[in-house]
Amino acid sequence: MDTDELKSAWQAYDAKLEKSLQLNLHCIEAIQAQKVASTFTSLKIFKSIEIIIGVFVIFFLGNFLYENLTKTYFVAAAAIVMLFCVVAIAGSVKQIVLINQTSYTRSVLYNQKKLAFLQSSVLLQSSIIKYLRLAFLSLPFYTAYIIIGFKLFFNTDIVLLGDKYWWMAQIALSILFIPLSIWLYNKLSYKNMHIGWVRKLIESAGGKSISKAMDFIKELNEFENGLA
Amino acid sequence: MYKQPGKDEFLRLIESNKNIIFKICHSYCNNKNDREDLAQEIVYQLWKSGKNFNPDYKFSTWMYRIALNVAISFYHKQKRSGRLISFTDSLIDFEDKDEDPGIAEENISLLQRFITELKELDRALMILYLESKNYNEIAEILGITTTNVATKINRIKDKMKQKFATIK
Repeated sequence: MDTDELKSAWQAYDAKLEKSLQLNLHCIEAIQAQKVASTFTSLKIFKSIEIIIGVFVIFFLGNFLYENLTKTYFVAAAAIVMLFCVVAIAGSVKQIVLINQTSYTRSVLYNQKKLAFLQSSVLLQSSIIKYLRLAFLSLPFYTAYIIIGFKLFFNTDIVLLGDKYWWMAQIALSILFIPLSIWLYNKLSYKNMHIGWVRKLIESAGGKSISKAMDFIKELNEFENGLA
Repeated sequence: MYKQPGKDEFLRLIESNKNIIFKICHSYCNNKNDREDLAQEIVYQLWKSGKNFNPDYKFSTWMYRIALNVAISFYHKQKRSGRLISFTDSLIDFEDKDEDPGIAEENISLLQRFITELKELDRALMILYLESKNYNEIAEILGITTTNVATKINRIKDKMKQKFATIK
């Protein structure tokens, strides 16, 4: 079958469809109504729950901060933990905005790449990896968690109990953690899925779909560059 | 921002380009239920994106972009998430095979089979080529260069010719 035959077979197909195909477009309104309801996907619900929990934690920390206003280290510790909560909430809000902005009107390659990146990033942000990354980033501030934890759970002021050596150890560890936390935070990204241990870690945290999305991005790049 | 076509106008445009939806659904889904789900999704996305339609451009080009994007995304959803709604009437009635397949019919099913064997992006390219879209239009819909379009089409055509040759 040559090019002309291919096209005439396709045209024959077109003519056949013209006769047999029925479009019942009166269903469009029913679809629309159904789709509006289905936009509340489980992912969006999950993100909304995350935001609600985050706001609740911030409120709780705010209350803790207010009750301990006289002690600077409690204020600083609560402020640091609150900052990480705000970062987590902002991430969830951004994800919801991105999901809502999904559109199919640009070129196939542009859209598919954007969707695959969105899928990877949304999935990544929805998995335990998001919290792992934030935990890594907050490593240098681990003392803040210790201070708040001891006060909340044991009603103990750990700062008063700790001597100068304790403080020196905390400061030294915090400084040592700075480069490590930045390195881990940057490494643990879907952009580094080509690195074996990152891929394994993300996949074991339920990120198989992320791997698939990243493989598709690779395929799209090859298609764009004429390699596939 | 452009004026979204009114419901009647939109339905008329869809109606006059309905074969595009059907052919894309057939090229990306193997069973009738999936095809109906995909058709619903395409029509819904067309309706939703209507406000971004620029009347200076061809409706069919715009429709291809959306329909192919939706189809490829649909194809990537590994498992079906269930039908959206149970209609008494389907949006599109997908008829099954004709009772008496002639030579033309045989060629159509062969062509369909070969298209579904292509990778999803090559499939999109081939559909547009068979729809007699020019290389510039194909490049615009897919988002690749015209040279790339030409190279890929030649490569796919060669592959298809070889496949047809082994069958006939």
